[in-house]
Order: sequence, then C-alpha cells, then structure tokens
Amino acid sequence: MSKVLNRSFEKYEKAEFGFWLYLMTDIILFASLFATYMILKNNVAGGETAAQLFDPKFALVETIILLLSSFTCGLAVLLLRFKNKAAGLAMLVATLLLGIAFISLELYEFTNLVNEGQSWQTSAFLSAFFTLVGTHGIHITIGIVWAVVMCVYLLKYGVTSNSLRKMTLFSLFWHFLDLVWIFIFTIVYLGAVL
Amino acid sequence: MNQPKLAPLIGKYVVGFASALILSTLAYIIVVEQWFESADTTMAVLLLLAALQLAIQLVCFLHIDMSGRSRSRTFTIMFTLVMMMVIVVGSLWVMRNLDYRMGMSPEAMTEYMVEQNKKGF
Repeated sequence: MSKVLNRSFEKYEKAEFGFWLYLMTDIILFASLFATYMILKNNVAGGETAAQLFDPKFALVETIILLLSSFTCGLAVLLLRFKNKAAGLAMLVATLLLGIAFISLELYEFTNLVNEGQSWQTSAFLSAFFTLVGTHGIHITIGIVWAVVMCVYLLKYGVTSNSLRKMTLFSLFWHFLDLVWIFIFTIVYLGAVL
Repeated sequence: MNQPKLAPLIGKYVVGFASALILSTLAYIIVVEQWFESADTTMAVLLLLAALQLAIQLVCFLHIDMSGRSRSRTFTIMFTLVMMMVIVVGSLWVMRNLDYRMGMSPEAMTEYMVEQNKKGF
C-alpha cells in the first residue's frame, strides 16, 4: 500500500515540476510580448493613443473578477484535497463562471475597439496590444476548457489521486494567468492613463 | 504524520486574496486620483505594487518557499525572473538608445560618432 502511495506521490511531484517548467517558458513568452508592447506603446501612427482608448475602471473590474476566480480555484483544490467533493466542485464551477465572465468582458472590449476602427492593423501600438492581451486571453480560454474537462472528470471519477494531481496542475495554470494579468493591468491599462 | 488542518490553509488564501485586492485597488486609486505629479514616479510606484503582489501571490497561492518540497520550483522561478528582466530591460535599453540616435540630424550623428570614437572602445 505504501509503495503504491509513494509511487503516486512521485508521479505527482514529477508532473507538478514538469508543468512548472512549462509555466516558466510561458513567462519568457509574456516577457517578450511585454517588452514589445512597451517599446511600441507610443508608435500610434497618428491614431488614438492608449490614454484615449483604455478605461482603467473597466480593467479594474476585469482584474477583480480574475482575482476572485484565482481565489476560488485555490479553494477548490484545497477542499478537494480534504475530500470535500461537493464544495470543491462548487468552487471549481465558480472559477469557471468567473473565467467566462472575464473572457466575455475582454471580447466585448476587443469588439468595441475593432468596431471603432481601432484594430490590430491600425498601428504598431495596437498590434502589440492585441498580441499581448490576446495571448493572455487565449490562455484563459484554454483554462476554461480545462476547467470544464475537470468538472466532468471529477463527476465521473470522484476525488482520486489522479484527479487531485490534475486539479493541482490546473490551479498552477490559473494562478499563473492571474499573475500575468496583474502586470497587464499595471503596465497596459494603468500605464495608459499616465 | 500529523494531518494539516483546513482552516489555516484557507486563511492563507484569504490573506493572499485580500492583499491582492487591496494592492490592485490602491494602484487604481493612485492613478485615477493622481497622487504623484510625475508619470515616472507613478509608474515606479505601480511596478513596486505589482512586484509586491507577485511576491504575495507566489507565497499564498503558488506556495513558493524555501522548504524542501518547493525548493526546485523556487530556484527555477528566480532564474526565470532574472531572464525576464534581461529580456524586458535589455530590449527597452537597446531600443531607447536606437531611438535617441535615430532622432539626430545627420550632422549631429556624425559629431556624436566622432565624439564616441575619440573615447575609444
């Protein structure tokens, strides 16, 4: 029995560290996009500037939603680890819904910008903006799909060492996306108003 | 093996969430209420707040510390953060410098290069 447990713990450790290394390469990806954005921020090609386009209040709402979802995601893993399946699932569903709310707000913002003629083709600044924030949005979308899969998995197989391992990896991913967003909020949205 | 209790673990998340919320809102208020006159000072303060929030979330949500189990994760993220700074600060440095030189008139550029050549390499 203990041998089996040890093996599953080893597997857990390896999976967690492997996934962590993936997240580290993702940091490098986002660092490049942030550097690009900061360099091209003022290259508006005679169009509207960041200060005219972005609303920090809107971004604050997005930030709070994502922060809350990061919190519920952490609680979900914790509750599941304590074999509290119903509460853990509820928290996971809350994470999922908040994630969907976040991506909807972002899509709403993107659609508005494009409809106003401020698309990624307008200027180098907007290209860099859409690439940076859009890449984060794609990550969030993948996270939402993952959360749906986790809900189904938990309902089907219950709280096992496998489902706990998968949940831990998902929570790492989700917390990481929240961290990236903090910097997007600071540099892109708050930095625009300065 | 002593079983960990649920309440203190949840407490850690609550602390992380509350401080992240406060720091984000504070950053927003600083910008909207224009606490600082210069944009550079404001940006420096904002980046400081973001870095603080990064540290808090790493500890509270991602459980990064120097204890045995998360040690390798701590070292890899420290290394990655250094690489991140190299990419971001390095790019900004090079491009600002390029921008500065591109802004010169041809005469000023010639003068600048003669000046630099005198200094030697």
